[in-house]
Amino acid sequence: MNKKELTLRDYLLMALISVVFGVFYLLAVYAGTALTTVLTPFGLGVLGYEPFYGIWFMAAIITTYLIRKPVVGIVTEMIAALIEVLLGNMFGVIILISAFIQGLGVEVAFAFTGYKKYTYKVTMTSAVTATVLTFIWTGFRNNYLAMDWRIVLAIFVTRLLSSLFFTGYLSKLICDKLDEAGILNSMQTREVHDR
Amino acid sequence: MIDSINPTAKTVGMLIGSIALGFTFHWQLNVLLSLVCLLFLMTSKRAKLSTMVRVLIPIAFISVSYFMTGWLFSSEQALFSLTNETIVAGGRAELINGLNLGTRILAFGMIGISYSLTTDSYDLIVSFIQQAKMPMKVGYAILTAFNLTSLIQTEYEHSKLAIQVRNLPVKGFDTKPLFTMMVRMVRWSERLSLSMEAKGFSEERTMHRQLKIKRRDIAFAAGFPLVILGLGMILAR
Repeated sequence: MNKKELTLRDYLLMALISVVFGVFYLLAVYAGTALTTVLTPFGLGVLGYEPFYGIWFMAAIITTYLIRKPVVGIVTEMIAALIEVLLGNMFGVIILISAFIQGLGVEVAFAFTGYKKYTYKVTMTSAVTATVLTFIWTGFRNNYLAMDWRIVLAIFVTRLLSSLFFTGYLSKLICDKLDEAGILNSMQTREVHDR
Repeated sequence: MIDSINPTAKTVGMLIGSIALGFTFHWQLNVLLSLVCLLFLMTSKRAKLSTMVRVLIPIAFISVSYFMTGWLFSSEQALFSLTNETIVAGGRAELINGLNLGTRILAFGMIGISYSLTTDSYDLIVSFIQQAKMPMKVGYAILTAFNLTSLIQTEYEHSKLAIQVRNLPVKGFDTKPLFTMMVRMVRWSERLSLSMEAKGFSEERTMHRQLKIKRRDIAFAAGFPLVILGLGMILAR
């Protein structure tokens, strides 16, 4: 495990990648709002954002893969949440808690491998743990106990599928391409020079 | 009204207040809290009416969708507890369940908006650095990225155009421009950190803007969640 302290470059990378994903988050919000509008008359509007939920975990996976140090996933999500707050996010302060839980969910799988393995198996596990933890949190926040169990099950399954695709598969695909392009090597070379 | 509250105190008060709200299940409290937050917004010099309307519309949509779900797909447990608490005629329990859910989301959203729109971005980070002991590196990384937001969006558009001029289609969630952006961000982070450190950036950096916690800040941080909890307990009787 790389126990070296996070550097200014690491924090800048996390913040910049969070802003890039902000563009995708916005696209997801537009798509989610459109789907919510269509589903609301049938009482299924709560499912509107679920197909895009995995997009919110992508930044944490990518920075964890690139920086390869502990707590990067949690810090990335927290930074992303703070930037969203600065930009006027509608859920404001409470997204700081959501971000911490999302980051923790992503981080758990990598922590179990000692931040040494970055395989599809780990990213898929990460997608599952992130889904489970966020599901418990949104369950409390949105009071799933007041909803029919079939709706709650639909929320969980849709979120899990979205996470497996965006977090487990797509993020890993992008990371592997970055690795092939030599980005990871250049980052680690710089790290060695910094020591 | 809450513009001048210290941002860290405001964060603590509203964060604990939001968690306290999570433990209450009364539409009356949710509506009252939404109105209080609306008052915060209306009396704020920072919150612009156009921004407020732009953010309030999606919140209204989401709360209506939760209302519909709570109304049409109530859980048996929720209906049972509602009929136990009050005598409700057939069908009305579902309506109240929907109302509880819809207004809950509205109240969370209103707390969120009144926090985001009444807080100055720079002051928030300065306050986190000074009062919440956030490392200088984190605070300035956030401010840097925040100030580069429009430039990053322009770069993203350029990345898409660069692919399109090669006659390659770019879809909504396409990974090609995203990959280009990831490479650019790695390069930017290296150059920015080098230039910041070359100009003497360190944890010992001093700040011109100094923020302090006053009595009214502590009163807000403690009072906001306490009022929510108190009202929740009164309504639960």
